[in-house]
Amino acid sequence: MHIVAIGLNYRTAPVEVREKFVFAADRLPKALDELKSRKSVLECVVVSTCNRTEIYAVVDKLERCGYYIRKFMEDEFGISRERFKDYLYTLEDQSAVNHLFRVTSGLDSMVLGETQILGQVRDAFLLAQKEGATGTWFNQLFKQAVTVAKRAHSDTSIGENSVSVSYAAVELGKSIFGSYRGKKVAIIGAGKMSELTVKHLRSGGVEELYVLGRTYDRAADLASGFGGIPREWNQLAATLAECDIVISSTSAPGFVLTKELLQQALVHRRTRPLFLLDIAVPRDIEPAAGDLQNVYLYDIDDLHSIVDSNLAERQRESLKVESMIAEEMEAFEGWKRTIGVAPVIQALQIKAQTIHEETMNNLLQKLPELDEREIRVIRKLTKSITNQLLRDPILRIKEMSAGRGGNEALEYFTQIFALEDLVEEEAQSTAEQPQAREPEPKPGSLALQ
Amino acid sequence: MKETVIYDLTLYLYGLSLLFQLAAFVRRNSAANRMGTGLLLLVWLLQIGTLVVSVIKYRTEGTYATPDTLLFLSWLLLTSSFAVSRLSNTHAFVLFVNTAGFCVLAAGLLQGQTRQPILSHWIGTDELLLVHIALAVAGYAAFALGAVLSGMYLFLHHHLKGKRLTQATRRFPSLSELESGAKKLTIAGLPLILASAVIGSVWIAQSGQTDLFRDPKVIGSAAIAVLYAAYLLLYRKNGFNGSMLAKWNLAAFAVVVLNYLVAGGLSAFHRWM
Repeated sequence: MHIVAIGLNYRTAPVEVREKFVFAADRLPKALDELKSRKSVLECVVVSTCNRTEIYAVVDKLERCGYYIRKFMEDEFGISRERFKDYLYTLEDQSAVNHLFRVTSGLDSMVLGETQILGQVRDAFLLAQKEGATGTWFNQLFKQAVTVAKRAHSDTSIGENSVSVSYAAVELGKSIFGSYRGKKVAIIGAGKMSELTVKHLRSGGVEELYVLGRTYDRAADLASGFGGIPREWNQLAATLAECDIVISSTSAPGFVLTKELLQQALVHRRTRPLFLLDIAVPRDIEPAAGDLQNVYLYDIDDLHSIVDSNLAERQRESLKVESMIAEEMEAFEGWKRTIGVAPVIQALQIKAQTIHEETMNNLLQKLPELDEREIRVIRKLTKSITNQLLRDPILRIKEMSAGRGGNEALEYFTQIFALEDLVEEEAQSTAEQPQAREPEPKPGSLALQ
Repeated sequence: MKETVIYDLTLYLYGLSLLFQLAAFVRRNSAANRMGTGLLLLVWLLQIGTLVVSVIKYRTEGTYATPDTLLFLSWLLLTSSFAVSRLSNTHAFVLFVNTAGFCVLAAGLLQGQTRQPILSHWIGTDELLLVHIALAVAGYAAFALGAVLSGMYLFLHHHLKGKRLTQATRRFPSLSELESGAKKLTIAGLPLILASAVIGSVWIAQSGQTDLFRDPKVIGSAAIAVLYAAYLLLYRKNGFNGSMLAKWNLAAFAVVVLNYLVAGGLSAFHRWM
């Protein structure tokens, strides 16, 4: 059996293509059922978000599954395979597992280290599990994927520290104030950045927002957009004394807030810190104001610098996450090897049982005069011989298959005990699926991308 | 002898736990964090055991060992760190408080474990002495915690002004929380010190040895109370900002340390702390 991941994401497909391949939430259960019924697909999970649509599947044979999964997508979305095949990527076995772990941990996200994807992958798996689309392999694999992602977020700072300018400003404010509850914000001027910052501040607990403009009408106009209270420009000094955070984003050519003005405001503030965000170009706030005690002044370059530093930090943390993923992959391979050993051991036991029965039948034919008790004793003793003979080989192969070179050990074991046919029979009976709706593809047209 | 061995063991375990805590703080290692916390718990229990034995010996034999008060102070600091560790963003504070607790314990080890009889003046009023010491140590513990917060405030303030945010500073409480915490601890500590001073003063007055009011340790303790009272008053004054108050708090705590090191050595009767 093999694991494949086939899909498209923000790197391989633009949004106008990705939006055509989104699975609606109410459609997913049926889609999973449909996908699992396709030939070759034993287990499946569909991860569909705004940045990616990925199909994870356990398949019996690699050379056919790609065709069937792409055909499924074609049927599902009504778009010819030829039109989207260039946007798809196909990953197999270890690459697919590695990809899943990286996606779930946020390493493959547009914003490195984001945490939302963890919940999305978990929800996708839980839905597939509920619909009976998962089995032993994916129940183990996705559990591990979620575990490693949680470890990544708790044991590293991959998801911490904002990588957007507006949110970086809000986080900075938290280092000063802790909580934004009860804090007052003054906005001078308007801009996209101000709007985003205000939005984050409001969700952080800010309730009082004052907006100042050169004229009252202008201030009122801006205030209605922010949900704030307009103030006259001549109330600037009083506002500086009262508010805790000031966001300035005017188009004024010179300084709107000078050091002298702020110095006067500080007299009435005692120990209360004042957080100034100057996101205007040219700057609105005199840089020397940053020298005042209790004033924390950050301009747009400072915020970008923080974001760059945060991104670099996330990149460094991603190396730790990669190493966690490598450990987890090793663990999954080890688990797979132990799973692989079960049918081999079962085949060996079946073979031993068959030989034992045949031997007993021969014995009974040659010695028909044996009574019931004698037959029972002989059966028990001969059974004991086979059990004892097989005990050590079975224990050893279990140990060896879990370690390095386990696959080779398992193969030699199968050959030594001549179990190939029995193991193949067992694998075929597991792989039997309901009849596929589409005809078998012609040879040569099945190659994976 | 046994007490010395237990004291040494406690100190080594405390040092080891600090190493684990530091590793957990720097590299976000949850396993190191658990190990550090487990060792701290062991240290805490050993300290309780040692304190109980000391109190029993004090009551039955009428003896004390100078490090006992430092042990009690260290135990109070460690207990406080357990209390705040459940709150968010306190990892740095817990680390610094335990570093302080370790230093206090180490200072006690340097003083030796020899038990001495309590001074004749206090015989008959030894319960009062116990209360006096307990209140003073609790007050100094509060001041020590306040000093840690003030130190962290200055560190964070400096980094914010310099626009140098690091992983470490992001794991600090906010400036407001640090300032507010330092103030609250001073509000808690000052009455304890004053109460301790009142008990001591009443005893001096009743004993008739009024010249003890001029003892260096007594004067030093009075100066400490004045400094911390002034710290609280400065909060209401215009012109004093957070970093100035933090520096004042640290300076006041420096006087506490000096009072212990210098005045304690010069004192004729105040030998337990």
